[in-house]
Amino acid sequence: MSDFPFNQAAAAAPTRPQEGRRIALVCSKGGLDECYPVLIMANAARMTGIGCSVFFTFWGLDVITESRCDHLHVNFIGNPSSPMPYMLAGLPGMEALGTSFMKQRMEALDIPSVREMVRLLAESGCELYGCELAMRMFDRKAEDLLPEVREVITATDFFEKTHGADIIFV
Amino acid sequence: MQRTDSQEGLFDRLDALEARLDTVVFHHQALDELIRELTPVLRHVMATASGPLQDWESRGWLTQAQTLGGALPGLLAPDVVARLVEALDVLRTPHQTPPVGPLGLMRAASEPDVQQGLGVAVALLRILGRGPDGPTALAVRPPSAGMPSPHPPSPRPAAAPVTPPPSDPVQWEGRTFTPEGFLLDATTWDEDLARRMAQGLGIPLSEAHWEVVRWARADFAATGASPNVRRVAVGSGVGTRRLYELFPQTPGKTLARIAGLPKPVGCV
Repeated sequence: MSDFPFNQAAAAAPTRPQEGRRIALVCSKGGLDECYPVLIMANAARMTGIGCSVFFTFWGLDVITESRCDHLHVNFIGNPSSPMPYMLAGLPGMEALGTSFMKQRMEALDIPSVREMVRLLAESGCELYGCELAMRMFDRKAEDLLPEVREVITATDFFEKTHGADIIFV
Repeated sequence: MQRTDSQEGLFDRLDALEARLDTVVFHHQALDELIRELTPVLRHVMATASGPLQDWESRGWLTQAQTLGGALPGLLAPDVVARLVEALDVLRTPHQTPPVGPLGLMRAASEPDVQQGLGVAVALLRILGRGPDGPTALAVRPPSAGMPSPHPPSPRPAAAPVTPPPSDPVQWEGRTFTPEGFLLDATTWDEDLARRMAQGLGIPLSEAHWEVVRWARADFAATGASPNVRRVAVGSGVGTRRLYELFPQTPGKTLARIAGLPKPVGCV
């Protein structure tokens, strides 16, 4: 079609789906406030047509572990942005209370749970990997991970798989 | 000689047949008499019963009895009956069960069976306490405490964006679009435009595509906001994976372009 005007217009816009553009996200933290940026950015990348791979390592392994992914907490201590004063945040039960407030807020904003986000990412074509070293460190087996995880690989393998991609470390 | 014998045999058999026929006729007559005697009785019963039966039917008791009859076999399942009998046993001799104080209550509440039973009790209370208009709305939203819900919730529509009209609109096919290809006035859409747009974007439209397009337009009409990827995937039932297959690369935006809807907002 010679008079279709939007290919050129879309090419000029920064969100033009580019066959070659890919990103690689590394999730190394297991706090609720620390893993959501990875999950949401991965989803946004897929919605924009950017290829995406996510590597879950160290505490980030909790995000893709079946028994842990529904029980992630918000980190209030040692977080300068935390609304809770340190003395209070250290008391027993305060972390759980703060986490439940955060979860209520997220539900009110219709943000999916971690499990739902992982499912969404896998279905939209995002590649999810677990870190082999972290699996050995936390003594976990492949069966303990969510079914959406593609495989457990080493950091070297991950770099080979994401050749040419922009790497974002969270 | 032989012929006479066989003739005799034949007559014998005919006699036997006649005797049996007589018995049949006798029984038939007896049955006839019985029916003749019972008919007035039956007529009387039907006449007397039809009045109350009609009355019960008009009050809806017969349908209710039918519903109850349908539900009862489930209640009479062997494990349910065993459970009820056990419960009745406990109720029969209440003073033989050990008493439970406040500390014992806390201990008991940590038992999974007791927790399950409390869940059943709460469910029953919820049903009993329900008002005539259905469940009452909660004043305070309960925290979900991180438990995954059994069904994925249908994502709420994103807030309708208040974007100013673009400074450089594009005219095509007699309608106005944004430079990225989103129709400014959704009412000027028609299927032919959708076909041309899909052709330009390189998407071959199938019935599956049209179903999603129709759903998205209906959702926009209902909510006023262009549905994003998650809302379309869950709401239309097509699923995220299939949606990415049907509208590759940028399903939300491609669908919005083809369906003549504004650019969807939201990153999740």
